[in-house]
Amino acid sequence: MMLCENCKKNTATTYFKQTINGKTSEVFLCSECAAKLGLSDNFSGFGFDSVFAPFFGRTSIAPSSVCPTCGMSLTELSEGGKTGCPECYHAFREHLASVIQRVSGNKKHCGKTPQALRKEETELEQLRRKLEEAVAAENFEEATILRDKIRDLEKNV
Amino acid sequence: MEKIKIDEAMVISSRIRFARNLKGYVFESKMTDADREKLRLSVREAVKSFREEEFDYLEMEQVTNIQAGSMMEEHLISPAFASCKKGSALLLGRSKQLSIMINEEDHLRLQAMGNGFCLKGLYDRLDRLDDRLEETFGYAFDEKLGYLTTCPTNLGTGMRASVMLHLPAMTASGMMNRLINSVSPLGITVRGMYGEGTQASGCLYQVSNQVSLGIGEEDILELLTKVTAQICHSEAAVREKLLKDPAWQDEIFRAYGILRYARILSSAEFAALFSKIRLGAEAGLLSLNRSALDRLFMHSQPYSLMLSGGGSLEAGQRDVKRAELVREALSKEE
Repeated sequence: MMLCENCKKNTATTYFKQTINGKTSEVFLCSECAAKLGLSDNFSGFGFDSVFAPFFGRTSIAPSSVCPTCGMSLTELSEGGKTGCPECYHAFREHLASVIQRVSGNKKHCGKTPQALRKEETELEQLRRKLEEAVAAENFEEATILRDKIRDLEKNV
Repeated sequence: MEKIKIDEAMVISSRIRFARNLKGYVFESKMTDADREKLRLSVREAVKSFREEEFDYLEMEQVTNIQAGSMMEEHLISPAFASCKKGSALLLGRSKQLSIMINEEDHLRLQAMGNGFCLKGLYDRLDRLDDRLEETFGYAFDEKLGYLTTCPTNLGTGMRASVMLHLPAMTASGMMNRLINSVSPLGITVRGMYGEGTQASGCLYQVSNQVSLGIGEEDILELLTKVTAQICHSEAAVREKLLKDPAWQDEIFRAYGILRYARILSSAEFAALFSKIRLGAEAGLLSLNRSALDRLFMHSQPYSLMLSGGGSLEAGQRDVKRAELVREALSKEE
């Protein structure tokens, strides 16, 4: 996954290319840095003949934004209405949020959860309980081991 | 789920589908041919360990347009799937109640279908099949957005549940538009018999949930059950009035007469007359078996006619073939 060249922390979701006096420069940025640097404003006012266009309204959209995993561009997404991979939901989250808001309201998933996550939850809960017990019993050696296990598991979720 | 009384006679069939995408693959639009091939073969392997049902595997490139069309008419596959062939495959349960479309808009579209009103039973079967596949592959899932789907409109449960209803009295009284508008704020849609953008031929309508995010599976099924019960209740009330009119009864028997003896039946004429005799059967005016009538309706659709007729038929030839099939089916019922 490509990191933002400005903050070097977030995933780069926006690609800029500009040519000034014959010299071309390219930069990959996350959406926050792109907004901070004022670059996203360069692209406002583009027309989208798409299903999403009415939802986007007049927010600034950089059509050169690409998903770092599948290469889907925002223009392609806007025109086709379909994402290219799970990562698109992260890469285009601001734009998709308004679409999702329009279709389903500002709701969070409730209902079935994959078994794999259900299992991890219970394992995590079990470890947390053991940690509490170890701390209460002042068994700090075991508590440290349990704490590390919890951290590992939380990273994977 | 609380017990809700539904007039089963008006319910043709129930159907539930789950949209799922496997971990470790990009979505359909970004997949290579090699990805699609790998995915369909591994899903084929995975269902072998699902003890509840045996599946037949069909690669869509090998399926003729007529076969694909007739499977669409039977609701075994979606209209979109019937036309997207490359790299897609169908796993069809021997009972014809469970099916898995592979490489449709999403990697997997799991479907369960049954006659009459049977949402709960279908859900349980589909849930088990879903768990089995998830154990093998793992699904693309997000805690907030639920099951991640190609199209953001299917996020959340990824579930679409629907019932097909026969609503001749509400149609005749011009109540359908009002019904569509009144259920829409509840997150329920009413559409023609093949879903999005299709006509309601034979007064058959699909009632389904529109929203899949922010509402759990059980609540979706309960909502759909309640709405179905309410629609059936309204239909029954209108029918009671209409059927007292001798002119309506006359139409039912005339429809039967035409279907029993006609030599040429266009699909539009057949659908209109079919609706009348099904109403007659539901109201106890004609002693015809409803399931047999529903099978006849499916088999009289254009692609299904061509499939049983052994090849491509012009509209005119189909109309003759349809009339033949209908006469034969109705004579068996006598």
